[in-house]
Amino acid sequence: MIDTLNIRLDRIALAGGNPLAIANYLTDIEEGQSEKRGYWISGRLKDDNDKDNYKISAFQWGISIKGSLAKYYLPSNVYTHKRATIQRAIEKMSDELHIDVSAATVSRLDISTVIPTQRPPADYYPRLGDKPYFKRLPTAADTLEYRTSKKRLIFYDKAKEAKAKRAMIPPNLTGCNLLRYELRYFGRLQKQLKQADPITAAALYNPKFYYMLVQQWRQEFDTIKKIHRNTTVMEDVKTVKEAEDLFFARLIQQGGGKAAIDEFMADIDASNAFGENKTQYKYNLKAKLNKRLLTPIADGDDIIVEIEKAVENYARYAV
Amino acid sequence: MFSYYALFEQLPDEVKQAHGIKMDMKNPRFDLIKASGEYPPFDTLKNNKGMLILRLIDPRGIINSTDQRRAGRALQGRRGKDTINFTSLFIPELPTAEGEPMIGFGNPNGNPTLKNGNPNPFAGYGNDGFLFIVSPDWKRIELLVMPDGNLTTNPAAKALADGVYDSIVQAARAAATTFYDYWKK
Repeated sequence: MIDTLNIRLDRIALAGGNPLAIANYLTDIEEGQSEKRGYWISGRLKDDNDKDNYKISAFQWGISIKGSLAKYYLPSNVYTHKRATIQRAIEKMSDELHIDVSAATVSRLDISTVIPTQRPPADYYPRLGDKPYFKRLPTAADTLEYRTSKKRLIFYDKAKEAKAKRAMIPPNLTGCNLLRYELRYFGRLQKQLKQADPITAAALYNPKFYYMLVQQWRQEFDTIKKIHRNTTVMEDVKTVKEAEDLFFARLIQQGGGKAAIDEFMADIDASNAFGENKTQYKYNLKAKLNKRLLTPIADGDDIIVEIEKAVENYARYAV
Repeated sequence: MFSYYALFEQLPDEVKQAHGIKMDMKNPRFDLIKASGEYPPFDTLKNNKGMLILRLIDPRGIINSTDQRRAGRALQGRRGKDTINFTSLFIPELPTAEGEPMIGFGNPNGNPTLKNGNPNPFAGYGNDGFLFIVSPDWKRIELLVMPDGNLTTNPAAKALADGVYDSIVQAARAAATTFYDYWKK
């Protein structure tokens, strides 16, 4: 379930090798000199689709590797890495760069997957409430983000994004609504994940560590406050009057239903309301109120349960 | 999307008796009744009568993984004297109604060799993914093979439960032909 993976290899980890020698294995090389970093080179490590995927920069201090491990090794990042493919991807990168990438320290990590959903992803966002210590930011129509300085949770419409970027969607998920849930770690991963040692690329395919990461992904979702309620039927609402009628129906049904109507009609009976037209108007009013009582106000589903179950299943059987 | 469909069933006692099949075995036996499409590794699992049998087993002690994520069940086949661990059978909690079939997923072990060093018939098929439709009484298991579907088994299981593949599954069922006729007089 790893997508973006940024790593860095110190000169020491290169066993005394020259970081700048990596230029031999890169394309689109650029070079420069800066006061802070000294002489540097950067280039691209192309993926199997010949797209510039990983950006590799080499300095006197070591090497920085930034990109998406899913795009690098899988047909696109709509596919989700399993633990075994993470290992194969790291091994492939080591072969291509002629260095041991497994020893590199992780500086940024995204844990994510896609969930096929019964509704468009944006329908679920209103059901995801606040999360302690995180800012909830609906950043765009199709995106919901929870943010701290070192960690982010992002929900967005992956099918839409894949279509826009012409990324390959797995054939068995073509045509599905795809909710993407990403947990992104920015910096200080060792502290954030409460590990005794710096997190290396090799740790990402260690069974226990990988399982722990996936559980973090689940736990971060679990601590979002969920707004559990049935869905109001909005599909037929086209005008303000229709919305008002639906709201009225909801108030009646949730505020006592038939008993409330009977009580109100008894008050009408006991009053001088409607004057001499009382019998006819009473009949009309009761018919109208009873109609509200039968108006479907909810489709019966607490839709966020679908996502809760899916996250739980993914975390339980993450391989 | 699906290259192969297979219907496995636990045979009724009278049918087992007619074929001299042992009854009340610890690990339930599932016989391949109907199939559509092709799945070449299965050809090697046929016994000398032409039957293809899988057994439903408890994977503890066989599959090396943490208790939390180990599948509740697994399917095992035989090729001659070799035991073939066909797949784990994960049954996630998906919103199927009570009395409706359960949805499961798995994938083959694509290692080149078996534990005893013999060639693995599923070598080269490790990228495939499996979906299962299991009757609530565990008497009937339908298998759907997704070529290169290994990385999408979990979301595909949810899509199957949501009804996304209903028409494709119906077509696969309709196209299935008898694999071995246990009821032939």
